[in-house]
Amino acid sequence: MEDFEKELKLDFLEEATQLLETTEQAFLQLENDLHNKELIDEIFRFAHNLKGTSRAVGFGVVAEFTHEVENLILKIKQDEVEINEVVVSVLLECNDHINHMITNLKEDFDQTFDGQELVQKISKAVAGEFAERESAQEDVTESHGDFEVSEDLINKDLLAEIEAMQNTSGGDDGFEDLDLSALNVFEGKEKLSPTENSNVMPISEGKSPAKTNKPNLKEDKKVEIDETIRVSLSRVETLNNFVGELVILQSVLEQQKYHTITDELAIKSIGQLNKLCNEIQDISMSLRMVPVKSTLQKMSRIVRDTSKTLNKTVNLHLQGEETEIDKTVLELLADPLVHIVRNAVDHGLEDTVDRLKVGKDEKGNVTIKAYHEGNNLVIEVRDDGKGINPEIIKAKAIEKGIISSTSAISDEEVIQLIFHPGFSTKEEVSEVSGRGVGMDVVKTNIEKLSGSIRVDTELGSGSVFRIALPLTMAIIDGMIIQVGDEKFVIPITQVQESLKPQVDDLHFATGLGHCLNLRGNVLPVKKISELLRLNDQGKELHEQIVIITNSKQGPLAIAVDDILKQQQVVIKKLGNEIRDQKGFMGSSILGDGKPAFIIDVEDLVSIKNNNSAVRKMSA
Amino acid sequence: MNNFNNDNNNKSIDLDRFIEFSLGGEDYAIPLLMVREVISIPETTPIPKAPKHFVGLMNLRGQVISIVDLRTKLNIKPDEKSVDNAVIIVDFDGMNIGVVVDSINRVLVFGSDEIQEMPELESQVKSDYILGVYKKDHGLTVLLDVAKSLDVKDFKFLNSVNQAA
Repeated sequence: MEDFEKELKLDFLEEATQLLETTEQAFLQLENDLHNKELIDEIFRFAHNLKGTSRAVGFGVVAEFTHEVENLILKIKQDEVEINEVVVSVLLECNDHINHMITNLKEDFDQTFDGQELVQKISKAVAGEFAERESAQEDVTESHGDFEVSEDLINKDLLAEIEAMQNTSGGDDGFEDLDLSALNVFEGKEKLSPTENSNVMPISEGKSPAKTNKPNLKEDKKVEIDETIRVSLSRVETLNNFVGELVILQSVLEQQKYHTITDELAIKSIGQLNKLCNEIQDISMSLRMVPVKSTLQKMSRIVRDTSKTLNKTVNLHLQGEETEIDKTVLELLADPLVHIVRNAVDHGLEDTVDRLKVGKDEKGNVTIKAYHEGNNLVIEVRDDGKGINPEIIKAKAIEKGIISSTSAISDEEVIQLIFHPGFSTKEEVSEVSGRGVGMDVVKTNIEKLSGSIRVDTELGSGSVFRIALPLTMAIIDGMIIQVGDEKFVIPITQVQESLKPQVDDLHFATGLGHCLNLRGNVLPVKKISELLRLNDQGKELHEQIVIITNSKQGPLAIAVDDILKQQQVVIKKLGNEIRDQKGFMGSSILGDGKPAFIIDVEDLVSIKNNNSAVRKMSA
Repeated sequence: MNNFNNDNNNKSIDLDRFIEFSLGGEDYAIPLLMVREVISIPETTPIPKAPKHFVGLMNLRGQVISIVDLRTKLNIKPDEKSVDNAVIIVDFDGMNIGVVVDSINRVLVFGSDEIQEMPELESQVKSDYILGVYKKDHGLTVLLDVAKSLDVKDFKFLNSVNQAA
């Protein structure tokens, strides 16, 4: 395939994915506002666009299917088919199918799909079979063969749209040609303003005055089209790399400023350069940040589908959609979030009957709220359901052998047990939440992002799941340590405290190794030089500095030669050739321009796991 | 790369360009298109617990790259006298590795029909990284499959295992 053609197709698929997200939102809105003319117009335009462009770039499968969908929407638009929830459901299914096609086409351009069942559903809908009342039955099967185009159908939007299609896809199917011929008739009546004529972007913002009463959708589109550009992540990463290098060079210059450089102007310039560099670094780092909006909006679909299946009525509230987070983090967050939201609707909220019984509103509420807190992004999923009963959890945990019946733990701690592997309170696997993925997986996934999750609950009035995530995975706060001649970085999140041990607090016992008495707790001490098999400066243990880290198996003291300083470092992935090296989460370039490894303490100590004896003792 | 893996050499007689370098007293060559750049020996950070031929990590304008010593890997005695030691940054489908060599000699241009395959001898040491030899006026240049010589496949394999786990 020609590169150009391939690029064109990929561009289309990328664009279509975005478009589909917008349409899904529109469909969901439509469900709440069935007779919103503008929404239907909008959806029609989307479908029409998708059909035109997909055909133009050579995805016949998509075009044919979209044509069917468009047909249905046209009928709705013309009031020939009554719109109701069933029809919207069909439309949503179509949206899913198109999404499915687009996703798979990304892998293989020549894939084919079976959409027969849906097409039949569509034609049923077109024929008005889902209508609650008998709609005016016309011969509706071949709508685009209909030459009688009424004046109100050809509204301004459509005119602009057709104009656009003429420019983009060259009007390559009968439908457009016919509409165009109809259009000519009205051209004289409806003068198009120049702006409308130039309206050739596929999802361009319509200039129709009718749209002003839908500020939401309008704003979305404005952001997507007028004020943003799409840049590949790899480019941003490259930019970040260069900026990082720039900052390092800058700091070298800065240091020289007081030694070798005497020229006034040069010194002043270096100072200004420094400011500029910092600004550039801030901006380049912020390029990776995206609003959580897109992910939160996907949740509205999850809530809708889940509540439909369970016959619950649920209001979803989204707050703080504009809160920004690193793109990579956001992508990895989606799956755990889906799980939590499903859980909230399935397990959290009561049935309508139960809700009425306890005097709650029949509609359940789920609130997803995103906000910044320090260096973290926090996402809260709150439901006003029945809450989690610690007694049930406790009984379950005892039954599953997670805790012993005699252990005294607080209710607070009991609740957190739902994140324990192998814990699921619902007996039968339900269609909705029970997909073999438990809350423990959610927790593991979030911890992989160096985040944390906890749940707070109040019996009878609901639960809150609170996820805290670092704003970016690209930069972390690190402690620079010295081992022999080399420097390493330990993430601050893994450091509990650091101290210079007293000789009296250090003990050695054969079989246990070195131990440190830390305010009455006995911790195993590991020399980092031994863990890394490096030469250290040959200091005695009590001359070294120990860093107390919180590993999974409990606290552990790590002896290093020196702690140099604390600073933010940019994480760079290790190359494939050394990625299998245990104990490191990446590398970073330090102020001297040399790369240094970032240590993952947990990973590093797990290689030599012979401290268990001491751990048991200290526990 | 692949056009001289073909058994029938007469199929393509396009001219290819190779970069020739020395390891010890021996001459080797790799396709020029695999070379991203050539730099002098940089400052490196040692990689703990890595195999011996890993020299360390270097900072190439903000990118962290592993440097390996092909001489150690292939058991070739380094040329102590050489003063032109260099690092060739090789690109394997986006993965970059720096290779230390004794010196860079020149760029060779020849057709794939001029490459001779190695005679298979039983006594030979593991040599599947040798693609063939190119005869020149005085001596031979060995065409090297760098990826094989560094077991790049193994890295990738390990990597995919890590991701699956």
